[in-house]
Amino acid sequence: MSWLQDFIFRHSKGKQRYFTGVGWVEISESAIATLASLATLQSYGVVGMASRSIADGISELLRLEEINKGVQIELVEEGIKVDLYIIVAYGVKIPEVAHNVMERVKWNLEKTTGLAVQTVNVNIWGIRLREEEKEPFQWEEM
Amino acid sequence: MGNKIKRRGEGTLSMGRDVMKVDTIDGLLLIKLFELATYQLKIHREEIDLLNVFPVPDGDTGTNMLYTLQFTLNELKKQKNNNLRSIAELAIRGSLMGARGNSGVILSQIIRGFCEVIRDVEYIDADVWIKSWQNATKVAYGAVLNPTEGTILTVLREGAKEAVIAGRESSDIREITRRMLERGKVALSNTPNLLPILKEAKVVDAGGQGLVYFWTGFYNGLCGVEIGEEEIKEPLEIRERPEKEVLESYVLTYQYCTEFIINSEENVEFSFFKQWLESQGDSIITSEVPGLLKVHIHTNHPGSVLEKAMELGTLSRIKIDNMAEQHQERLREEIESDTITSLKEIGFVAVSWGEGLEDIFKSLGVDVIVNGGQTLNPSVETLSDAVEKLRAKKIFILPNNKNVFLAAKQLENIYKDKVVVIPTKHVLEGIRALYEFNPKNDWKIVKEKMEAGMKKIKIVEVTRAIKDSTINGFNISEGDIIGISDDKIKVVGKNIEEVCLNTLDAILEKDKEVISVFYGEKVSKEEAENMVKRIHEKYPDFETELKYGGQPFYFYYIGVE
Repeated sequence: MSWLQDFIFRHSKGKQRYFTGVGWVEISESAIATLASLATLQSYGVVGMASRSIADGISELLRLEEINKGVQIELVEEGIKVDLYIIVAYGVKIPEVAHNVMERVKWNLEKTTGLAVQTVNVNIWGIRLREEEKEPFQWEEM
Repeated sequence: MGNKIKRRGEGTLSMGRDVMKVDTIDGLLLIKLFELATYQLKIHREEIDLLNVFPVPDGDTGTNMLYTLQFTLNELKKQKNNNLRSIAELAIRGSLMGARGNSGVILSQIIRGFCEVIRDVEYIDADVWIKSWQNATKVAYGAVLNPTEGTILTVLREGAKEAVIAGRESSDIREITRRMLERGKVALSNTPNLLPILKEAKVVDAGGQGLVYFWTGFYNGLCGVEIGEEEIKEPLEIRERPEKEVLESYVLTYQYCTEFIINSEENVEFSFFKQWLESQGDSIITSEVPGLLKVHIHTNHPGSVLEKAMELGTLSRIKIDNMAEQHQERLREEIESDTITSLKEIGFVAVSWGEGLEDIFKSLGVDVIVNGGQTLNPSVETLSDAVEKLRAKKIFILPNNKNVFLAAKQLENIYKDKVVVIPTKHVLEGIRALYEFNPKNDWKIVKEKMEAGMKKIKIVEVTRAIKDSTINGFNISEGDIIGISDDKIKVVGKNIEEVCLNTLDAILEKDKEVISVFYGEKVSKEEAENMVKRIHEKYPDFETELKYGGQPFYFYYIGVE
């Protein structure tokens, strides 16, 4: 697999396609973005993703269908560069959560796509305060 | 399946202690509970580490949970008065600051949720105890959008639910905790059924196992178990997280791997030097016998390390490697083993088969020859390896075959601005094209000239038919000799020389002057010379030349221009 990674990324900026003896395999940026965002959302401490286009100052929690907006994928020579824009829960240790997200996304992407991940940047775009009234379970039902 | 899954921690409760009912918990007892929980994680750390396959199988769950808990405990030890509020606040703060790794963060949330309830009460009774665990569950679940089932969260939830049920029947905190722990263990053994990756690895969830040990510690504390002082005080060996290995593998802190041996007097003391080394880099390994010190260090200043070492004695076996280059080593070795070349303006990769043809290509300045041809097409990978190997600003590929041409075209897409494909469909076209190469020209002109050059040549191939067939109106039977030009069968016969001559006859035009004959591996030199003689006799106006091609399958390649 390593030659594949070298092969694709050292010389084909912007191409996530690799060749085999039979034909090529191409993984689109949006497919990579989906994988990355799903891995992110499963990470502990992450409660949502924010639109990366919040230069205008609105940090909105993305709905599940549009989570890809919270991910930016760039293909550079050394591999995939991932930028994540996330909302974390209040009260978690942010550096650790960020670290866990990085590890998880890197590991998941490399495992599922076979492509090298060069960078995972985590942008904490917001903190969600707890909704006090919400109980996750019906304790009294049992 | 179930019985193959590792499951530990059973039996810790069957110790049959003479225990009393626990109605309330005060600050001192709470600290002791944390102490015992930390102790449990400490003795089971490696075991938990080994279970770690999810979310990232890096084998650090136990270590991270222990680190988090140890940090929390250290904070708790700082408190002066034993009121629950300050203990709870310290635990919340300590676990937040000490949280490490995924499971550590979850554990810190559990502790926070647990302590948020305790913070506001005078003493802990069964009711508060249950509410604390309910809140711990709520807080822990609140910090994740898509909770994965089959993890520490599942174990926590099941345990807390059991605590709620147990609370209806008993006001004994010890009993409630026992049932919570037992339920937690059941939930833990069920985690492989919820999370397939665990089942594959035949393990239970590492974080869940950690929580079970955490509760075991609590339960032991409620049972009045004491642990020896020395066991607690034993220093904790947790190294700092090796950040750069995990995430910054692309950034080398220290670039040069430096190794050497200091030969010195027998009585020389190396300890100061070794201490000084620590300030110079990392990955330091030293081994010492009297008078000799072997040093391995990663540093950015190998020079100053060597200087300093020379103060102690003479140096031998000095080895300095630039680690940044290590990943390129293979590439470099290949280039060195080939020829030591400087960066060329234009390099050539040609696809060819046959030793004679290879020599011809080499003599014409081709840098890398890739074996392949009609029946053996080199893969894109092989071609890209060749391109990688070549140090040149522009790399011209001569595919010399229709099929290889497509593969080469793909390389042109991948190595944009670097690879140029000359669409040669035959080795002779490739050779002809190379005649046009003038290194003084710009690559665009070279390309134009080569493409024009290759079109000037007409090619005849003579081979043996491998099966019966009817093509172009010829009835061909297996073993017939066929003469091909322009991908079309021109002549069919039984005699190689006759076929050659007849095919030439069919394609020769008046404006051509030179006939080049390349004989294949199945043809002897004498036969070939004889052949050329006959061609010369028949076409005395043409210049003829004979070269050994060594190509398989084809008796002759003949180029005419």
